Amino acid sequence: MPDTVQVPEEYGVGRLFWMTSEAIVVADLHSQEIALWNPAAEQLFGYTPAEALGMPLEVLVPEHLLGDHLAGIRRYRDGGQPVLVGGAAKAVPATTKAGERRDVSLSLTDVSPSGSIRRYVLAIIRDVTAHLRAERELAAANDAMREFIATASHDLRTPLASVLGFGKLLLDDAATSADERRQFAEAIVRGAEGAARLVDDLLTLSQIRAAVLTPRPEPVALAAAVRVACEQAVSSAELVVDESLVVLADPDHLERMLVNYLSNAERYGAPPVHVRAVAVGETVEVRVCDGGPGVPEGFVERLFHSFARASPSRRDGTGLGLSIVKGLAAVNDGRAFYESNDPTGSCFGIVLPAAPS
Amino acid sequence: MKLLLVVEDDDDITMLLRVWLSRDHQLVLDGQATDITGAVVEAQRAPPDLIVLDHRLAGPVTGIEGAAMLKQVAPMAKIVLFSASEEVRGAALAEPAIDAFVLKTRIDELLPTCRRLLGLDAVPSEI
Repeated sequence: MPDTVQVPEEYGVGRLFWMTSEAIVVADLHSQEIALWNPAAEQLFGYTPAEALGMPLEVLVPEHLLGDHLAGIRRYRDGGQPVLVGGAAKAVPATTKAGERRDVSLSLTDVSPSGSIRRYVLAIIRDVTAHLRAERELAAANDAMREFIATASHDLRTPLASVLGFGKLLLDDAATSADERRQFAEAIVRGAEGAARLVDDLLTLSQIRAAVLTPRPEPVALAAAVRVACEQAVSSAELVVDESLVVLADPDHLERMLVNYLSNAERYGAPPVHVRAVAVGETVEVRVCDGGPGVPEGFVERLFHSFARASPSRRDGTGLGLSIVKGLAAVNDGRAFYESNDPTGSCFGIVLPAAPS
Repeated sequence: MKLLLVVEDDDDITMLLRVWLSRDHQLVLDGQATDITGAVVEAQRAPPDLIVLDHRLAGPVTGIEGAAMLKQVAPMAKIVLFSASEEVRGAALAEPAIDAFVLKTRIDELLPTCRRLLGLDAVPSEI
């Protein structure tokens, strides 16, 4: 049995054993040593047949599982019920010669010669590390998508509840005065505008994530673009942007990024709001800074995440503005960043390629 | 007369609840808060018969987390979780301090739910 099949035969079972892409290992459960080791096992674990034959089986087992492994072997060798032997393949962690962890699919069969008191087990082992990693990544992506949809539906339902509720009150003539009717109508408009903003932002974000948002980069005079964005988004701001600065970016994307930053400074920050830009090598750095309370330290890491809000009570934005800036900066070969302002407040920045002169 | 406490941090939804619930003259809105801390203070000041509680509130404590704190200071109060998150319905109904869940976009269900919990007539006195 096992100790007779150590050399490949040109044809037959030995050849299959030698050529298969599955790692095949036979272990003697009494000595707990490896009795048979094929080239695929060498490829998976890194031990040559010369190193592997006679090697304790436990060398392949991660330290934290060693106790369970040895107890299982003892139990089975002494006639106990098998847990893995003869059952379906199971994914377990294993250790290579280089000390790397691999996830392997392990299928065990008892191949003890009849009448022998010694017990041998044949293991067919397949490396499923990449497969399991892909599964974990897919599960994490699904979780993130579920969370995203749950948050988006919550944030859509809040303004819709306002639209529905006040609409029904108006239909029921529940307003007691013209002023109250006007209040109800204004609340409906606010709710509808909020829902529309969220839908627009969700669409932009989904285009960014699906990599279907194609920028049309062109040289854009930065000072003029900043002035246009300021007119849309802030009551007042001090601009320190040299008229000679020209960036290479999609002008619509640049405007959206600046407006998002400036709107945040207006909503969550405090005066004075400054916009500063400097050329750094072949790039231009633009910073929108305010004198507000700044971003809580524990929140900085999540600032650019979708639906991230430092305070859940601040619902006047969609919670997507900064993740959109990050995405737009990236598709324009730039990046978005945050710094705390000195002595107080926030600085949100983008780095964009400078247009060739 | 039954006293109501509304715990909600969205100004428009607070106004909507004030108007919507005032259509039943047996209900009196006696307190408002935007977070659990404020709600506990309000509930101590004037123990309500019913609390309409949002889930995602200002402050670090959610509605589901804060419901038990409210029940402690107002043990006789019934609590309706009024949330825009359908996803929290199961967790809300599993919380012993919460008596009912109403989705914000199903506001038609709010008054009948409040009346049922308060043991009032099936039909509101005036709508």
